[in-house]
Amino acid sequence: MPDVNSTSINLTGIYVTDNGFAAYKALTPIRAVTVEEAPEDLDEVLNGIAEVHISFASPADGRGFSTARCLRDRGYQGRVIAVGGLVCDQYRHARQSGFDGVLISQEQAAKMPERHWLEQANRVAVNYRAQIYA
Amino acid sequence: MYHYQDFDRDFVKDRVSEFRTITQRRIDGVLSEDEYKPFRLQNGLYLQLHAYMLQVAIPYGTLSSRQMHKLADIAERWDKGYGHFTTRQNIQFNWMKLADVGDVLEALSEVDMHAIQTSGNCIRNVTADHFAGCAPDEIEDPRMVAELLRQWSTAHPEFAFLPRKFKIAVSGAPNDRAVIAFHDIGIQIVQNRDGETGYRILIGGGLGRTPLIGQELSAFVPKADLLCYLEAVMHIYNRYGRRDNKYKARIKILVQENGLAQTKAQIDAYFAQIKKTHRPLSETLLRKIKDDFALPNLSKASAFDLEAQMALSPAFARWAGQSVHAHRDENHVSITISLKKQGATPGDASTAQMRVMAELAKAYAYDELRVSHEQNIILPHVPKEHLLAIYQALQEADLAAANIGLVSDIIACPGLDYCSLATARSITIAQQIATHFEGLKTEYDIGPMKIKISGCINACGHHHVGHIGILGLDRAGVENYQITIGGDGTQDAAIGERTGPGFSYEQIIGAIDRIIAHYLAKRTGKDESFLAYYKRVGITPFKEVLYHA
Repeated sequence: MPDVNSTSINLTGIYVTDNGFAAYKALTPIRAVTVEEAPEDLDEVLNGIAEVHISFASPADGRGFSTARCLRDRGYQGRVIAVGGLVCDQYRHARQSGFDGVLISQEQAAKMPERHWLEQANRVAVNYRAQIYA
Repeated sequence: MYHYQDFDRDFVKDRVSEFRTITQRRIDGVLSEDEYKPFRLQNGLYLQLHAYMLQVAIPYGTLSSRQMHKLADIAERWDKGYGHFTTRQNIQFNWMKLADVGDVLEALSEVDMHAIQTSGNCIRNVTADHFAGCAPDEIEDPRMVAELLRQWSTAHPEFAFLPRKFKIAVSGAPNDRAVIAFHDIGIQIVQNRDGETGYRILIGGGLGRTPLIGQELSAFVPKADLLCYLEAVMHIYNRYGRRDNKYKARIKILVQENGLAQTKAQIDAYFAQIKKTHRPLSETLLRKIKDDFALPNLSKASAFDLEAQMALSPAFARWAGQSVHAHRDENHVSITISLKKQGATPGDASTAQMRVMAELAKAYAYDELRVSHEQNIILPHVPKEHLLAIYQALQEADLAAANIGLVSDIIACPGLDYCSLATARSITIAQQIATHFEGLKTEYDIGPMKIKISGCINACGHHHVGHIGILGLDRAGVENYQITIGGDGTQDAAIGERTGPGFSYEQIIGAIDRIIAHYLAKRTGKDESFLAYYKRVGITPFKEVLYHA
């Protein structure tokens, strides 16, 4: 598998999208982007990358939202997945910041069942941007 | 004032139901306090020393009488019959029961209010000049941009988990009454040489344990670019702000450590990137905001001679002399209602007092009230002919203290009487200072004076910008009060200078008395204010009277 930095990439778990839980199937090649990296430096690196994983160290550390946002601003169009410490209440934030979905472990899934994520998925379309911008 | 649209209303209702669901999980024990905490904070619910405290958002301090009535109802039904107006132009209820909070939020939503983002590491309630829309020196009503910022920052997906809280203040006038230089971002409405209105942006101001004056990030941001520019500021802060130490996590530390030039370069670069694809603001929304904040249809003058009336009644004259402020319309004034009666808790209002203020606004003042960051209530538009009636009603409600801007008009944080972070009492110090000078009958002689008291280093009482600042600390289990002099929260922003070692709870009133007595004895005359005197002589004479007398 021609991913760039595979040691840091988790390839198992449950992939959460607006449709709920599904078994995760990777799109390759994958590149993990850390929140310490500047997306501005990654345009060439991400050329041809099908899927980007951005890891959240904890629910309180919101840097990954800005990383995703910046990648999208720079035109990255592959799949962007949040991994790590997000909780279900943050699903809305992830989707509205440019993520396609969230990859969680079986343990996370047991603690935060699908219906909690779906409840938040219903809030993805609700935001002030529709009212503020033309 | 801004009238909610369906979207605003639906959004708040949804938050209430979400709050109920998740809080029920906490009450049932499914969620631990640790797991529940981030969620309750995003909804303005703090856990204080004795009880839960709910901080209700009052965007830029503007309220209708109906909303004020609802706050009174909440104080009566779910609290102990009073509320506390804060330096963020909000109100907090100090004695909430967790099981009641859902009902309180539901009650608030009935009048288009909520407690969203009054806590947590997010963009907090945007504050603005409490004389917005009526001040004669105003270029433009700052609440129009504050409302836009409210909408933009509410539930912003990228900026809900910042390194630390983020506070924005807006001033629409050259005279700064919104303390913009001590905010994470201060916005001043200005005109450029072509007469175009835009925004001067200050960054990195703040109080707390590292007080810093905001620096100019941009001299002029055009109106159309403001949200995009602030997105860039927040984005850079979210990426680079420190997360290793909560005491170094505010944007002021990022600016201090990296320098203004580097921070500005990062912001400018990101701004250039997102500006290319940033959508323009909705003309419909801008038009609505403009219409909503238009001046009320001001009544034409009937004859009222304020000066003559003041000559007839010395008590009225004394009150009017402090509480009545010039309005941009010559037949109108703005009134500050003091919540600082000598001996009372600064910023507290009882249920009955809230109802009186609401009724006065409805009967005489175009149905509008404001909360000032100085913890008083303002009737922004008052026809002069109603001044006497308002004064009499305020007297009956014990709200006619004639002390606005004077030594007893003190900002004080809740301190050790309520707050879990506090290291010392601040309310009782404020009460004692106020009654001390009332007893001496020197309040009017002393003249303009801003005393600000914080009960811990986090500086919620703004002590750094008090003409006299008092900081209550804990020294080996004993309260100890440090004094600063010369702070200034206006356009002449300055951080107070420390006099030296602190004073005990028993000594602090005497120390403040010596400072004031020295000023009264040595000033050139009544025209030289305390602050002007300090600027002329510096801190040394004050040290003399405090430590060597």
